[in-house]
Amino acid sequence: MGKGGKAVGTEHLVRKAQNGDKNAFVALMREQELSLYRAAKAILHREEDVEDAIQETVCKAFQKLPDLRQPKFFKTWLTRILINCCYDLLRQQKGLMPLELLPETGAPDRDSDLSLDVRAALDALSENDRLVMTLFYLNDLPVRDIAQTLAISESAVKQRLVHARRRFRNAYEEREEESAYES
Amino acid sequence: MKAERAKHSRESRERRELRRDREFREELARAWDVESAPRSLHRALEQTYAQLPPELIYRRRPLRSFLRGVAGAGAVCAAACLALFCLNLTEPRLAENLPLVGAAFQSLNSKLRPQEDLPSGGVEPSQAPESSQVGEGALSPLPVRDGEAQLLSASLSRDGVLELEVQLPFLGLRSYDLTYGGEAMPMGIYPQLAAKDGTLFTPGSLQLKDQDSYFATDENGRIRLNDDIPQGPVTLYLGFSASDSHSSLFEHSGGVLTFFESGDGLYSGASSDYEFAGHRVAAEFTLDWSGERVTARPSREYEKQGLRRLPDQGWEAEEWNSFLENGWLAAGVEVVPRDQAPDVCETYFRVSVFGQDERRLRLDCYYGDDLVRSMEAVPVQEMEEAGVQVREGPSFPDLNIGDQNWYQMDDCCWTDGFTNPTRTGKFYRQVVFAVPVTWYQVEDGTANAYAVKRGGARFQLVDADTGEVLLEDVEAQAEKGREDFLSRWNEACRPDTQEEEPAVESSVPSGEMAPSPSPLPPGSDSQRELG
Repeated sequence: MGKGGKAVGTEHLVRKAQNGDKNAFVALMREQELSLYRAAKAILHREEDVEDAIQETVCKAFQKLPDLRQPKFFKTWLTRILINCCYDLLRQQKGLMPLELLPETGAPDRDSDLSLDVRAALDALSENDRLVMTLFYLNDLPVRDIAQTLAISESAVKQRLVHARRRFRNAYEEREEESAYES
Repeated sequence: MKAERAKHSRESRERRELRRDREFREELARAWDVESAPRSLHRALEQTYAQLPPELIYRRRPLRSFLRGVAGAGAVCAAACLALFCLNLTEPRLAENLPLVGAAFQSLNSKLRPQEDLPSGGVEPSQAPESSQVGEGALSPLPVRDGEAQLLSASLSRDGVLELEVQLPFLGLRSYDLTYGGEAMPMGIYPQLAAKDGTLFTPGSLQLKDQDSYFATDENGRIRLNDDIPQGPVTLYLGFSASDSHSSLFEHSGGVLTFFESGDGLYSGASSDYEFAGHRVAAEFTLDWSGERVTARPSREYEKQGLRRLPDQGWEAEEWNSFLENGWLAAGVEVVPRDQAPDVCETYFRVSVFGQDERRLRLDCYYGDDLVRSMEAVPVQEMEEAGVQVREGPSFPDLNIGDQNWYQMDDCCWTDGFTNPTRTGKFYRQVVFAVPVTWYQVEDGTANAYAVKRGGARFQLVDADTGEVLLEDVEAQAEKGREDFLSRWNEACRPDTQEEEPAVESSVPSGEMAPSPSPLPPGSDSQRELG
């Protein structure tokens, strides 16, 4: 199904859920699971926190969904709830920050084959940049919606996207050149 | 134009930067380790779903539903009213005959009709034939539409000047090289008024509505358009005066107003061969000023001369795209005389291409099988950003691409800009290379002169970054493209098969309102001084 078809399907599910249909709500949430995970992961570092934030988001969405006026804004609306939940969680943990919550500046703990250059480039991206990139490239949110969600201007969103992408691409190209040279 | 080009370039770069290509997304997801959600999250969420109440709290809002219904009904009513008013604008007679609302439109139209258009010259209202009274017979009150053209207003003043206001869609307002009837006329538009005895009235005045600033006079005294050529429909004021003709307008009861178009066509940027475009009819109206006011109806008198009508607007836009190969189109190769060339390029070939992307282009020139020269059209903005000096000159008239600047780096000359070919309604990137026919190459301290002759040279357009060949042989492809285009153009310019208006036509008294066929369009052959 194309993007348009999917959007229509989502809106249909939203309307059904707003009329009280729990199955439709669950279907909606399953559809958004990966997007929620990616967005939460851009803000929070620990998997447990990510899970907590998403669960909280699901509960809030269940309560508030009947108030959503325009089903086409469901995804943006849900993302906004998630981001609020993530920041609430960070606020609660303020002052009680365990070591693993500190920014990941050391060696990567994931067994990825990604080069250090790319990892460094990604780590160099600020949380905001990562969130913007996640919402745009991975979650397919339009620039306008991202701007509204994060309460910044559209040009600021574009600027962040362009800069972050360039930084990423430069590091990636350098890695390619190095690997070509080594081989 | 420059600002527009920069804006276009910026937007296009931004689009490229913000492209959601699959590879990048995959790379990003892999880098952040978020290619899929972990199973633990899935399990946790399933538990959460199970704990939720069996139903969402559904809030009924009767007031909101009612208001929504009222708003919907209001919107439908508003749309219906708007449609009726539009109908009244285009087909007032039809609107006036509608049941229920027809009377309202009759009353409205009678109030709005101008009363100052009454002729007071040679024709007295009382002498007007019965059949041409307003609202009766063949002619309709204004405005009248013929295809995409619309005759908005017409009046014959006491001193015998027929003033017409016409709205025309993309009619090739590109340059004003042609002098016709003592006035500089826009190339592409030839309004002509022919009385029934064949008397031709030449327009004594021509003005673009509220857009005088679009006109400028060049050093030769010809009127040209400035850069900001209006896009979309244009409104022209036309004045036909009895003093411009041997015959007075008052001696006639009407005439045929025909708009011919000689579009500058597909290959205008590179070729002086305009013959293929020919003269086509863009619109035709039969006017009657024998009554109390000037009335008109669309007509097809041109068919009696075997003249044909332009294809519908949008045809060119479709066709242009079908001629693109790898996103580029070969427009032509020409040899430019020495005395018109810029300083550094002596006699040269002018190689012209159109395209849709912003890639960096290279032109490889082969003589026989030997690659004798390569030229690169460096993106000027990019060079400026890098601090490289690119010489920039004023418009070089012989490049014939409007007012675009040409650039020069070392001994390479080129233009690179955007153009909107007639009636396509779109912007294309247009690059014209000026390739020197003669140049010198130093080998072992000896300067050798090379001269490339036409016929032996082949020009290949290449993507400078990837080496991809975009156009194998620009000249051959341009020639073939021109032939194909002409063939399709002629096919598209078939005689109009639209039904005429038999009901109203049949009521015209024979010989009364049937002007003789229009003479040949002005400017054909002898009057055309293009290229």
